[in-house]
Amino acid sequence: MSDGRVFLPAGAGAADGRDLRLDFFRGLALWFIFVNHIPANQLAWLTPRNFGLSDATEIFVFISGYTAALVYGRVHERAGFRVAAAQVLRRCWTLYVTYILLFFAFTAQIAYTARVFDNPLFSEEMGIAAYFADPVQALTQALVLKFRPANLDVLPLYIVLLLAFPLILPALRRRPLAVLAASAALYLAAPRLGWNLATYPEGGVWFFNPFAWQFLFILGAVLHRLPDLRAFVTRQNGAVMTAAVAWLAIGLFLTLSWRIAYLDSLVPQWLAELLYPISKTDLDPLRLLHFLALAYVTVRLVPAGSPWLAGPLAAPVLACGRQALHVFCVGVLLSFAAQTVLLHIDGSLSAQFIVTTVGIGAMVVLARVMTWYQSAERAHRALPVAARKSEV
Amino acid sequence: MRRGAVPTPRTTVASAAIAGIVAAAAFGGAGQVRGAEPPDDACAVPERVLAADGDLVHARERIASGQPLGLLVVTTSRQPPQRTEALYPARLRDELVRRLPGVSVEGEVLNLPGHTASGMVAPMLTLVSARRPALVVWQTGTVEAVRNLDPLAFGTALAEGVGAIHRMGADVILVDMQYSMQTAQLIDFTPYVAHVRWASQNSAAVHFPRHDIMRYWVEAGRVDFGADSESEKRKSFEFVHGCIGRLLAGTIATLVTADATVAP
Repeated sequence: MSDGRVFLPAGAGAADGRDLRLDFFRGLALWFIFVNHIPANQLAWLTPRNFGLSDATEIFVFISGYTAALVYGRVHERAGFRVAAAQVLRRCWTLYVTYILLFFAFTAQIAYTARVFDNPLFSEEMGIAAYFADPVQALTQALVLKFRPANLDVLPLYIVLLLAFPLILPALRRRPLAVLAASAALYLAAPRLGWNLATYPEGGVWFFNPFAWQFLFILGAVLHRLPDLRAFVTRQNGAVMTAAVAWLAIGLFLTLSWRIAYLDSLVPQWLAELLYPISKTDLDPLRLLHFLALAYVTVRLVPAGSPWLAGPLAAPVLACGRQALHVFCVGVLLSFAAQTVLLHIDGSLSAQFIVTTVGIGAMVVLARVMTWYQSAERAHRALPVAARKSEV
Repeated sequence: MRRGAVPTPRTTVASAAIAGIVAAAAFGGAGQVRGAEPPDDACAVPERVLAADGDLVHARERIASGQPLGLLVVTTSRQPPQRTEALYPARLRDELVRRLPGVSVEGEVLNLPGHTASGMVAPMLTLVSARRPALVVWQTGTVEAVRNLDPLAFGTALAEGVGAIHRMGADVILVDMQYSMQTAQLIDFTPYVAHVRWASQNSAAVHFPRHDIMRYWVEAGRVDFGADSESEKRKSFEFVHGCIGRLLAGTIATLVTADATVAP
């Protein structure tokens, strides 16, 4: 397909011209992130991080960049920079409020754990109580996104990426390739110069280095902005396909070798020295390459108009992908709640299955309610003013 | 300390050069009969979790030449002296004595609570150069994980420490962090565990996957860290330390003996 429509065909699959694959794979990534964020959940074995070097975070950040350019680029074109910037900031505010809400849930859990969980086995080695030694510091640091309990890392990354997005919107419109080049330069320079944002307590750094991860976000945005480039990089090419599949296979083997001690012994030391460590914090080039290979193979295997994307099986995933922001926030809350249930009520395999199913079900219900609400609101706005007044 | 010595835990005076050492305690005596020994099969984990892989060349050579097996265990623990005997370093030594008949095992523990891997390197190397052990068991990563420190810097510190110990003529076993569902909800250990794995692959150290082992025990229902009663807590404490000591000794014994003379 060299007509420039391989990634986002007009009118294919969706009435509004939106590529259903964007919603589908973002929805899927949100499901994976939810499952992965329940540490006690053995169903997390089924998610892509156990089968390849990259994981759901890459999918989520890339598609978020792509759709940010799609949505805010359109607003920018129609209503101007100020309106687009205001809309982005409103999204950031929603994310920030969610983050603070989640932080309080975590804080309560930490305080509870520090008080109850005083098994000398752990307290002698990690001093878990010290984690909550200075609540005033912890709370103020949380407000500036610096104090972050486990698994809350994607949210601050998403917030700063979106916050910076209005700054590049004008340049993205006029000189997308220059934006991409600058982004790539920053990506390559950041780990070498030791650039990352700090966390509290002192000495910590953001688990997802925004200076590195911005590249994937910008790459998504630029690929949306330049349909010709998109068509070029996703065109049918036997050599690229072979290389991509080979890299995915190597990634699969390496990831399994981290889990299965026997496979580990098959990896020669010179190769290990060449490959490791693979930094998730700085989005290691090997991870980036793995994501690009995965994206290429997926785009080739799943054409835009695939009938199953419009079928009933894909519908719940699509619903979540369409309401990504709200589903993501609720997903983080739900995974925290699910882990709490597994910890304090029942941690059995069947309980893990139930909390996973209920959690995903809740995400789908929320997505459907949001979609219904938005369409109802649109219908309401479409009513003549007189009709709306008479309702009140 | 020789095999069969009087079982009184003693604290060696840390030399002034060993900056930051909070406690450098010698092992307790060997061959002591204890209650609550976990049965072998309760400790056992499948080979996909723990496979004795790697080479302990210095330790093997010392044993082959009839010298005592010098062992240094470096941890981030804050251990009360009255419990020393129940902790895994002491259990490891007892198990090694049992599994390596005729070998004299000399051990020492260096506890550096609150230290990062990079902070542990200097005091650890000072003690290695003073005592010249054949094998260093280095348990680290907890402080980094609790404080969200840069995983990459952690990996670099591991590589530096392992390289320096190797140059001093000793082998290294890296022991990673503990696991419980409770701590996993608050702290993300996975990137640090990955760096321990990679550092051991890159520098030919042996990785002892304590995190995965404990996770296996929790998931298989062998141990429950959520229990409230003091007796349950003591039970899980003894189980984990006893089994870690035993599995660690099993790994060492397998790697230092090429033939099949290891006692089961």
